[in-house]
Amino acid sequence: MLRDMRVHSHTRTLYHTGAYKRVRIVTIDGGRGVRQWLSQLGLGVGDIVFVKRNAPFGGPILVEHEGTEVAVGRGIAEKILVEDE
Amino acid sequence: MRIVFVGQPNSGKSTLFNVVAGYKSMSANFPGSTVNYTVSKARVGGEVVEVVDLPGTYSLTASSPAETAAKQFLLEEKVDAAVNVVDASLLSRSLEFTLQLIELQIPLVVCLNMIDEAERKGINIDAAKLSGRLGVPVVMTVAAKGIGIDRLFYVARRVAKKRELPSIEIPVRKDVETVLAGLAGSIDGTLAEKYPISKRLLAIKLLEGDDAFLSLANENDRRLVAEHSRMLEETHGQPADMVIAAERHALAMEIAEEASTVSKPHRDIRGSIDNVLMHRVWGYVFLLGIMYLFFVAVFKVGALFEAPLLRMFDSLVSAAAAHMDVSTLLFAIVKGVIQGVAGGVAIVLPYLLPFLFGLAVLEDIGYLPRVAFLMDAFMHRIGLHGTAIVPAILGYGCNVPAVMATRILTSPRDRIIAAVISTLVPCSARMTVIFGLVAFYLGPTWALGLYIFDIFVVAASGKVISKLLPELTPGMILEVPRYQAPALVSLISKTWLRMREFVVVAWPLLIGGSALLALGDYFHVDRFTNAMLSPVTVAALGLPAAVGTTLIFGVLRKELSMIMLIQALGTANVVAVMSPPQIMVFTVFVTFYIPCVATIGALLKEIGAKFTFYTIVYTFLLATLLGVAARAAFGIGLL
Repeated sequence: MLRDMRVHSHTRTLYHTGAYKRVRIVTIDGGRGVRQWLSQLGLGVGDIVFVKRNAPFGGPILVEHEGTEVAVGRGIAEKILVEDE
Repeated sequence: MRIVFVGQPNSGKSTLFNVVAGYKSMSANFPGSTVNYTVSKARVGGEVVEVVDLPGTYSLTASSPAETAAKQFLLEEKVDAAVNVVDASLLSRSLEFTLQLIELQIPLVVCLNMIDEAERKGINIDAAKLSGRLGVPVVMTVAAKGIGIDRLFYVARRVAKKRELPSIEIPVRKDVETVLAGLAGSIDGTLAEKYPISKRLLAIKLLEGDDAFLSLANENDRRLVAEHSRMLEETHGQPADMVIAAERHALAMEIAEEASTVSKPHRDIRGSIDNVLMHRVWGYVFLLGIMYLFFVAVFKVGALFEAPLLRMFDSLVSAAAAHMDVSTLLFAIVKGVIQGVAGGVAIVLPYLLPFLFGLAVLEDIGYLPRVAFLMDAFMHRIGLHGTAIVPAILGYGCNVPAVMATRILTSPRDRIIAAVISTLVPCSARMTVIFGLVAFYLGPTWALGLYIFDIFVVAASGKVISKLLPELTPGMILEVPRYQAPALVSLISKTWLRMREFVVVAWPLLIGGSALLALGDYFHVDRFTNAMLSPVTVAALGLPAAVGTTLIFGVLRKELSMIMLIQALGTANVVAVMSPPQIMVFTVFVTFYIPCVATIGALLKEIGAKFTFYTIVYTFLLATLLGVAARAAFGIGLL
C-alpha cells in the first residue's frame, strides 16, 4: 500500500521505483564515497537511468545507463532520489 | 621501452595483454580482480618491449586500493607510453577515465577495443574525429581476435619514441576554469614537485579531495583548497568534487556523441540470459544448479584420474620394496618421496586442474557479479554486502587471492570480515582432502554435505564477527558487465598461473615433507609431536594419535595434511586404519583449523597482525569445536 503511494508521488527513492521504469536522478545522498563510485560508473545527478530489475528479499536494484549496468544495494538506492522521466 | 596498459575493468585490457604477453598474466571479467600489476616482455617489431598490465580501475580518484596502485604507478614510475584500453561499446563512460589520463600529460594512445561489440549494439565510432577531439592517437582493436594489435603497438612505439603528449588541455566552463587557475596560481610549488604534473591538474586533484595529494599539502595550501572549494560550492550549489566530476561527465558525453553514430542494434540473446539467471526465482535455482554441476564435474573428472594414478604409485612402492631391504633408512626415504610425488600428482592434480579451469570460465563469462546481485540480501544478513561474495567464491580456488580480492570492498571493516570468512571457505587444497577422503571413502553426497555445512559455518562466523564490529556496511555499487565468451588464451593463462603457484611452491614442500615424515617415522620423532597433540587429536576428536604430525604439515599447505596422513598411516588405503566417521571428523577439523602459511601471509598484509592473530585463534577453536560436534554426531566412542 505504502509502496503504491510512493509510486504516484513526484519524486521517490530509487529503491521504491518499480522495475522497467525510466527515471531521472535528482539527488544523491550518502557521502563523497558513494557519489564518486557512482560517477565512475557514469551515473550522476541529471542522468536518466532505466531500472531493469530488483532482487527479492530487499536486495539490490539493477539500473542501466548508456549501456552500463550497475547493481545498487538497497541502502544506497534509498539515498538516491529520482523523478519520472 | 616500457608500455603500460590502463583501462576500466572488463575493457578487455587483460585479454589484450595476454595476447601480447603469452600465457603469463591474469584477467577477469570482474571489477577489480587484478589487484597487482603484471609485467611481461614482448617482442614487437624486432624490439623487446616491457609491457605492464595495471589493475583495472574506473577512475584516478582513488577510492579503492587498486586505483591508488594504478595512479601511483602512472605518476611515479617511468612510463614511455600508456595504452588506455577502452570498451568501445561504453564510450561515454570510458572517456571520463581517458580525460583523467590526458590530464596526467603522459604519452598516451587510446585503444578502442571490442569495436565488434559496439557495432553489434549499433554504435559506429569515427576514430579520426575522436582522435581530433582528444588530441591523442586512437587505434581500433578486437583484442580477443587479435585484430588491430600490430597497429596499436606501432603507434604506441611511435608515441613513446617521439614522446608525443596529449595535445590539448581539458576545457572546463569559464567560471570553473577561473577557480582552477586561481588555486593553481597560489598553491605552494613544493607540493607539485613530488609528482611531475601540471599545477592545473594538481588544483583539480585537490578540489576533488584526492587524499594522495591532500595529505601532502601544507596548512596554507589546505586553507587555499578549502577557500576555492567553497567558491565552487557557492556558485554551483554542490560540493566541489561533484562540480569537477560533472564537468568531465558532460565533456565525455559531448565527445562520445560527436564521435559516434548510433543505428539500430542487432538482436543479442545475451540481453535475455539475465531474465533467467538474474530472475528472482529462477536465478537462485540456476545458481544452485550451476554450483552443483560444477562440483560434480570436478569430482567426475578428478575421480577418473585419481584411482589409476594412485594404483600406479602403489605398484612403484611395491616394486621398490621388492628390490630393496625394507628395514633400511634408504627405503624409508624412497617410499616417502614416492608417496609425496603420488600425493601431488595423483590426488591433488586431478581435482585442482578442472576446478581452476572451471572457476576461470565462470569468472571470464562474467557470472560472478550476477551471483553478487542475487546474494546481496543474504550477505546483508551476515553484516556484509553482495560484493563480498566474490572473495568468498574465489576462496574455493585458493584463500590467498580471496584475501587479496577483499580490496574491492571499500570499507576496512567489510574487508576484515570478508577476509576472515574467506579463510573458512574450503580452498582447492582442502577440496582435495574432502574429495580424496570423504567423497572417496564415504561417497560424494557426504562431500557435498560438508560443503553445504561449510556455508552455514561461514555465514554464522560472518554474523558473529559483524556483532563484534558493529559498524554498518556501506552497501553495494557493482558493475554487472555483459556476458563475454571467454578467450581460451585468458582461461589457460589464468589456470596456469594459479596452477604454477601450486606446482612451484607446494611440490617441493610435499616431497620434502613426505621424506621428512618418513625420516621422523624411522627415528620415531613423530611419537613426540603426536603425543603433544594427543589432547586434541585423541582425547577431543577421537582420532588415531598418528594424525598429529599431519596437522602440523597441514598448516604449511592444507593438502599436506591428507598426503601426510597417507604417509603417517603407512597406507594409501586410509579406511584400513580409520573408520569412515573418523575420516569425517578429521576432514572437518582440517577444513576449518588455522589457515595455511600462504594465507596467513596474505592476511598479515591485508588486515594486519592483530586481526590475523585473532583469525588463527578463532579458526583453531572453531575447528576443535566442530570436530568434537562431528564426533558426537557420528558417535565415535572414546578410544
